[in-house]
Parts: sequence; structure tokens; C-alpha cells
Amino acid sequence: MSKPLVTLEQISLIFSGKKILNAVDFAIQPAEIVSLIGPNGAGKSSLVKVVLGLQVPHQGKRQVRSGLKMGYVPQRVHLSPSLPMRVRDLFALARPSPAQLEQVITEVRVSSLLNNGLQQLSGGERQRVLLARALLQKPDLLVLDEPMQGLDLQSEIELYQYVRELPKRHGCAVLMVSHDLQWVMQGTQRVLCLNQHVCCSGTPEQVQRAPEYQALFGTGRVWYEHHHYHCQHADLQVTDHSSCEPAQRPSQHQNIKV
Amino acid sequence: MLEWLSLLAPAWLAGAVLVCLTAPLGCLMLWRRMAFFADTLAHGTLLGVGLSALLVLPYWVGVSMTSLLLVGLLWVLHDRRLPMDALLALCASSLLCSGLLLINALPAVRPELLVYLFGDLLALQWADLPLLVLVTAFGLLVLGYCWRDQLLVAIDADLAASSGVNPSRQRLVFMLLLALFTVLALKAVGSLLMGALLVIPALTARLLARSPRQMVWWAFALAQLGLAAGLWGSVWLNVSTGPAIVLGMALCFLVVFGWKKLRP
Repeated sequence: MSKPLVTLEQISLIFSGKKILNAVDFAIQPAEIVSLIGPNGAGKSSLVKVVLGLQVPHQGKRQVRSGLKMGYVPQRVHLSPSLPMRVRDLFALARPSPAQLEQVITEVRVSSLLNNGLQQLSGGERQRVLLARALLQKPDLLVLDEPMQGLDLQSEIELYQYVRELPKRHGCAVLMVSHDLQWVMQGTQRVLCLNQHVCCSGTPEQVQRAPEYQALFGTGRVWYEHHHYHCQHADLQVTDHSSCEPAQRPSQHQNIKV
Repeated sequence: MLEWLSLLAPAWLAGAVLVCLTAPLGCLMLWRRMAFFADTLAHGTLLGVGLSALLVLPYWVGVSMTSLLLVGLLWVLHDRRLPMDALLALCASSLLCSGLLLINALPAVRPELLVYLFGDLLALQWADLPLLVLVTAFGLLVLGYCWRDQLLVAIDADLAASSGVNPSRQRLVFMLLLALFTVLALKAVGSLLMGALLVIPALTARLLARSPRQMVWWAFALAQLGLAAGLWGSVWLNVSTGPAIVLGMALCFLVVFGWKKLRP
């Protein structure tokens, strides 16, 4: 196996006395697709920030292959309304060659948006533009933090398909935070299930068989349930499952995708 | 007309040089939601002026010192829970008040120190110009070197950091550049008008621009227009130059704003 792009050893993150991440080990190899799953508040975004180097861990070690280039598609960007910026201006900041620009904007299908202001884009358009921007930097590692927010079903399927081809097309590894277990199980080579600590990790098949996973997400079902109290923490205490009834499941997690 | 021109020429040229720096700095200030920062710096300079008078130093030494003090203070005070504008308001008022108290406590009454409140562009001589040009060129060089990084941080700090830009370093560079401008422009435009010079042209330019580059060029053009209008207006109406320039720029804003609202 070649040298990992990023290696995390025993990473812990503590905010105001609360452990957000607890002794997390993680490594990502070149041209590999890894999914990061876990309930809300499991520390997925925090882990992503540690991987990217945006957040310095309070304990543990982060090693990065020298010369590593990273692309990041955040959940949200807080763009100041006083900054006039068209999609093409954003892309120009990555200093792409004309050929590379042409290739990426065709692939991600943002050619028609070039002259639109960033503030005027719809949620889905904005995600695609951010993805294109990340790819223009020719990353070795692309990090996507729940990129499917605000996308309609068709765009979502297309984007998943596209992400799946990224290692072949651009030679980059992908780390993706996702709530879509269907995608996680079919589109990725490796799954990391997080709930402050690493509950389980491995190939989709291995993870699906793991009792920790089944406790978190149920057995064999593709929908998402917040049964994170089942995860075997030392401080396990709550057993009230009424809040996990399907009726109260957040709508974006419904299992309507086929 | 011609004799007026020879009288106004050094001031006009100095103003035109300063505007080269105010246009990009003002835009960045707006994008990074730091419009209060220039005001805070400018108000803080009064303390610097007072200190210089007390210690019998050239005014720019004291002003540089307080500017650096403020940059350091904001560096330390950085906290995600406390909004930047509120922290700036805190610093601005504290520095202004200490400046006023210090000037009041000076052994001799120094009314000429009040020049630093409004500045006096017309007091500039030809001999002041070379240094002004040199420092402005230096500022522009630094700004040009880190412009792309500054822009990335203005878009989103996390995004910038993931592209290998250090947002903290860029923040420091930006604050130091503003401090440099403050020291440079204090005598010419004064503590109270400095913020307006940075903000108003950038604000007006925002209404006209579709890209960052366009916005900087618009800010530059509008500031030059406001400067010329203010200078000649002050001669024509026989009023103080500094306030006339600020009002000239504000007038530009009103015209553009009205024009944009009337025909959307």
C-alpha cells in the first residue's frame, strides 16, 4: 500500500469540557473513496476540519504527505453580500489553464453559470460551483461535507455518479460526509462510522455486519435513524427511544431514494 | 483659475496618490466586514498624537505605536463569540477617550493638535510628495502580492485555509496595511474623516460592480471624482477641504444610489 495522504493518530478535540472527538485514528490512501457517517453531533464536520488542517486537534497527531493539495467543499459558505463575485471570478482565483477550466466546467456542468453572481445561485448550483472550484486546484484529496444539501433527486444521482468516477478521472481521493446510506454502501470503498470515537470502519460489507453499525443504523435498512444511544459508550445512560420514532425523523433522511 | 491650480496642485496630487491605496483597501475592508476598523484606527491615532506631544516625538512615531498597539489588541481579543464590530467599537471609544484625556492633561494647551481631527490636505507641500508616493507604492506592492489570498479569505476563511492560505497571517497583513495608511494619511485627512475616505467610494462601487476587480476600479474612479469635486468645491464655496471631499464622495454615492434605484 502506498503512503497515506493524511494520517490521524489518536485525535481528540475538546470544546468547553465536551469531547467532540475521542482518540480517532484515520488514514486515507491515494485515489480511495471513504465515507464518513454518523448521527448528528457525532463530530463528522469537526473530523473533516482536522483532516483539512483547519482545526488543530487538542490531542493526537496529524501527518500529511508532503506537497499534498486539498480541495474542500464545505456545507455552507458565508459569503459577504458586499463582495461582488461571479462564478468565473471565483474560478479565476484557482488560476486554471483554459483547457483545465473548460474540462472541469463541462464535467461539473457549470458552464452556463459562469456569469452569474455567487449570491444568486441556488443551493444545488452553489454546491456544483464549489465542487468545480475545488477540482480546479487539482487536489490529491477532495473533502466533501454533505454535498447533497439542497440538491434535487436527479442532480444528486448525477453528482454521486460523478464523485464515484473522480479517482479515475482526476486521480484524487475522496472523503465524503454523507447521510445517504444507499450511496455509502454502494459507492464507497471504505466507511468510517463516527460517534465521537470510531464506532466501526472497514469495507461497506464489514461495516454493515458490525454490531455497532447495526445499533446505530438498524439492520439492513437503508434509512437513517438516530439510535446513537445504542452505541456502546462507557457513559451509556439514556434508553428513551421515543425521540427516534420514524415520524420524527428529519425529512431529508427519508428513504425515498431508490 | 490657474493661480488656484498651482495652489491646489500639491494637495490634489497627494490626494490622488492616497486614493490609489484607499480604493483597494476600502473594498477589502467592506468585503471582510471590517468597516469599523479604519474608524477605530483613526480614532486611536488621537492617543498617538497626544503621546507624541507628551514625549516630544514626531507625530508619526506615536501614531505608529498606537496603531500597532491596536492591531496587537485586536489580535489578542479575537474570539468567535464576540462580534468584530462590537470589539472595534470598544477599542475605538477607549482609545479616543484616552487620547482626549491625554491631550487635556498636556502641560500646555495645544490647539494645533486638533488639526489631526480633520486634517489639512492644503497644508501639504511639494516636498511631502516623494515620501507619500514611496510609501503608497510599497503598500500597493504588498497588496498586489497578497491580493488573491486576501480575496480568498474574504470569500470564506475555511475555504482559503484549505487552499493553503493562512487566514490569520492575511488578517495581520491587512491590519498592518491599514495602519500604514492611517499613519500616512492622518495629517492630510484627519482622524475623523479617514474612515469615510475608505468606505464611501467602496460602498458606491459595490452598486456598480459585478466583480472584485471592477469594484476596485470603480472605487478608484469615484474617489478621484469625489476628491476633485471636494477640492474645487471647497475653493469655490470657501469651506474646509476635508469635509468638502467627504461630502463630495457622499454626493457621488447618493447620485449612484438614486440612479440605481430609479432604473433597476
